[in-house]
Amino acid sequence: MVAENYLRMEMTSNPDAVGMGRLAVAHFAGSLGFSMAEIEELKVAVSEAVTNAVVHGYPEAIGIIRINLTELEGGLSVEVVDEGVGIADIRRAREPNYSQDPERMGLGFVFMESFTDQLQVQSEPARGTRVLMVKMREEQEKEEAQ
Amino acid sequence: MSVSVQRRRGAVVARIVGDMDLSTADEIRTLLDREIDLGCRHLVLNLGRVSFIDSSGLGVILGRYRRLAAMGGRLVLVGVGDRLLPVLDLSGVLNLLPVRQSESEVVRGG
Repeated sequence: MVAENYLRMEMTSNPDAVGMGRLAVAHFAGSLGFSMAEIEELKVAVSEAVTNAVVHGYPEAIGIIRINLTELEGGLSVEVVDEGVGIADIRRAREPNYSQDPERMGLGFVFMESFTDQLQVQSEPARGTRVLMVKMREEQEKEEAQ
Repeated sequence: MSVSVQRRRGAVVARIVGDMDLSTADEIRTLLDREIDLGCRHLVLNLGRVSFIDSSGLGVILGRYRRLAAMGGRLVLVGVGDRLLPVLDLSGVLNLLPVRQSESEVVRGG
């Protein structure tokens, strides 16, 4: 039996976690044959998910963020998990310009949604948030369409 | 990440090198705000050597744009390459801010 191809990371929720998440997904996606343009999109999506965990998941304390990257047939899944304060209203949080901070654009979920093929957000107040994104390689999508 | 600042014919040109994300946003914001506090009303952001930008980086740009606009000033982007284009385009920033090919074009004619 061939083991599932995956990468698991666990890190503290400081701002540098954002860059580490990007680096990991770039290498992992590169090894799976994603194009440069697709890797750039994945980097943005992961950056936004980890930023949300750092800024909104743990607004007043340092916590743990887990990133799970898993190879799928023709693509990969990215899971970003925190055990922070959670999101009370996921639907509202996913709307553009939801953020109350004038320095933030409220576009995090918009980027995650636009730059991946599938986005799921699960959250529970005081328990944390789990963001799951799936991205397929473009050449794989073309093959399936034929 | 690093930012170099140069004053050219009444404009302040800020050249940003590296990533614009959560880990660098505060530093870039502080530096640009200092220029605005010192009287800059025409800010040119050269993004030609920015390797990555996400919504944290865009927030810095948009925040400076809003500050300057409220004072009757302006912010112009230069060096928006293919790598940054999808994010800037999707955010709507390109509809809001003027984008120019080169620093000289901005400083000369605006």
